[in-house]
Amino acid sequence: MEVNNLVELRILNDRGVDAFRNYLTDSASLGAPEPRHLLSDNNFSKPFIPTIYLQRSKVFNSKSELAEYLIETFDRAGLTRQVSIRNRNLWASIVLFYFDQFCPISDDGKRDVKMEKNDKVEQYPKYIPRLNHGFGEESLRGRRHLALTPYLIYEYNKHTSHKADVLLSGKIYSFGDDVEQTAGRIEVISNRSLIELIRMLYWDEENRKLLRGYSTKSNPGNINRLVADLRNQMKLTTDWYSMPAQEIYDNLPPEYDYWKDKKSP
Amino acid sequence: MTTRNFNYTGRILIPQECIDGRLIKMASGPPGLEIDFDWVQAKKLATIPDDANIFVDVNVDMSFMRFNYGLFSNPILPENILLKDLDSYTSATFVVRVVKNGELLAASKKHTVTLALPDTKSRRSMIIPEYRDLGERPWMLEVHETIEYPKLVFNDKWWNESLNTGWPLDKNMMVMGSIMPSVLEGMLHWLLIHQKHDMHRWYDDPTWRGSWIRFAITLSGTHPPKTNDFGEYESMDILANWISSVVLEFSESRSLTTALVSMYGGE
Repeated sequence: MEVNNLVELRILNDRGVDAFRNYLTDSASLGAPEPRHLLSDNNFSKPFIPTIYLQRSKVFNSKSELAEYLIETFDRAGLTRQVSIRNRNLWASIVLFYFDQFCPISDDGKRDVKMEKNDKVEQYPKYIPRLNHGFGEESLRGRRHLALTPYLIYEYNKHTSHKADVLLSGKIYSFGDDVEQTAGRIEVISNRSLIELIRMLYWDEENRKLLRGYSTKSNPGNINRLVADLRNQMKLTTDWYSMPAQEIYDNLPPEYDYWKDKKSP
Repeated sequence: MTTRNFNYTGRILIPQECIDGRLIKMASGPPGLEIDFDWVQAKKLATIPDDANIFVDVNVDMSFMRFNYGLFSNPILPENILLKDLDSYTSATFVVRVVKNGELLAASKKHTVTLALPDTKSRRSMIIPEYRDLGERPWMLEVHETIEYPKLVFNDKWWNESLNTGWPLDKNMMVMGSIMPSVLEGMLHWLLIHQKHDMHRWYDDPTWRGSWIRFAITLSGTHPPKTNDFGEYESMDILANWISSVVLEFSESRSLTTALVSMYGGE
C-alpha cells in the first residue's frame, strides 16, 4: 500500500530471501532490475508487524543519513533494536527496497555485486545479513551488512554530538575496512572515547570526510592498526572506556604521529 | 594438550569466589544485574589501591552496558541496575574490571548468568539452562559461533509451572534424562558437522567446545573421524555412526531408560 510516497514495508519470507539471493547470483551484476515484486507477492513476502512505512523516493547521501532515517522510522513504528537486530529477513527486505542505492548501476550498465565466496553460510552478507551459524534463536552477525551495520553504529552513538559521523560518512554502497573492523566489535562501537579518538586522528572536519589513506594498510598508524592491533594490545593493560579520548591520543605510540602531523601541520 | 595463555601484563585475575552476581527478574521489562564483591577471597588483590574504580561490563551479542560500582575499597551498587540496553532480557555475560587512571589493574573472566541460572556461585558446566517464550515448543538447544555458553532453553510456561511444583526442570531427572541424549547429539552435530572447518581446534580447545568433544571421546573410547585435506569427511555415515555410538554410550552409562521406567514404579 502506498500513501503519499510512503510504502508499507512487507518483509521477505525465507523463500523470498532465497529468490533475492538467486537474483544476486544470476543477474544483478548484469544490471538487471531488482526483483521488487518479491515484496508484494504473498508467496515471497508478508506484512510486517509493527507496520513500517518507508519513503520510496528517499535518497541517502551517506550511511549516517540512512541510519538516522531507519532509527526514526523504527522509533515511529515502535520497533525496538532488540527485535529488529534479530530479524534477518527485515534487513534483507530493506536492502531490496532501496536496492538501486545499495548496489547502483554503473555507467557500463552493470552492478558491482559484493560477494564473499568463501563464506559457507551467506555469500552476500552485504545485502542479506549473515546468520550466526548454529541452533536456537536466530541471531545475526551484521557487521558486513550495508543497512544493519550503520544502524547499529548510529544507534550506539545517537546521543553523542558527532553521532559517529567518522564511521558513517561514506556512501551507503561502499563499505571500507574501517566500518567492518569497527562494527564487528561491540567493544568498539560502544566506546565513545575510541570513536572520538578515531575522529581526532582521521577526520577532516573542514571537508566532512576521512583523510585520504586512513585505512591504507601500508600507512603507519592506519585505522586498522588502531582498532585491531593496538586496541587488542592495549586492552590487556588499559581501560580505554574510562579514559578521555585526549588522554589516549596523547599516549599513542609514535607511528600515530603521521596522522597527528597531518592534522596539525 | 591444553592450550594456556601467559598473563605477562601484571593484570590480576579476579577469581570467581570474589564475585557474587545475580540476574534479577523484574515484574516486567529488563532484568537487573546485582553484584556483591568479597575481595578477602583473593589475597593477591590486597595490592590494589583503595581508590581504584570497579566497572562491570555487560554484553549480549551486539549490545553493551557498563556499570560503575564505585571504589575498590567500598563498592556501591549502582542506582540503576536494569539491563535495559541489552539485546536479551533473559541472559547476560559480564566481566569485572578494576581500573585506576586508565590502567587495568585486575579483571575477571567472563561470567554468564541467565534467569534460569541467575547466580555466579553455580559452577559452570558445559551448558547453561535458560527459559524463554518458545510458543508450543518445549525446549531447544541454542548454540552458535559467537555464543559464550551453549544454552538449554526451556519453554517459559513449562519452566514456571515446574517451579510451582517445586521441581525445576533442570533438576528433574525425568526431564533431563529424556532431553540430554538429544542435546549431546545436537552439540556433536554442530561441532563436527556445522563447524567442521574448525574441527582441528576443538580437541585442545579450553572452552566448552573442547569439553564437549573430550567428553564424547571419553564416552566412546575412540576419536571421531577426521576431515581430509579438503576439509570434508570421507564418509558422513562413519561420522554419524560415531555420534550415535557416543549418544548410546551416554545413555547406557547412566541407564537412562531404566531410570525413567523405574520412576513409573517399573523395573
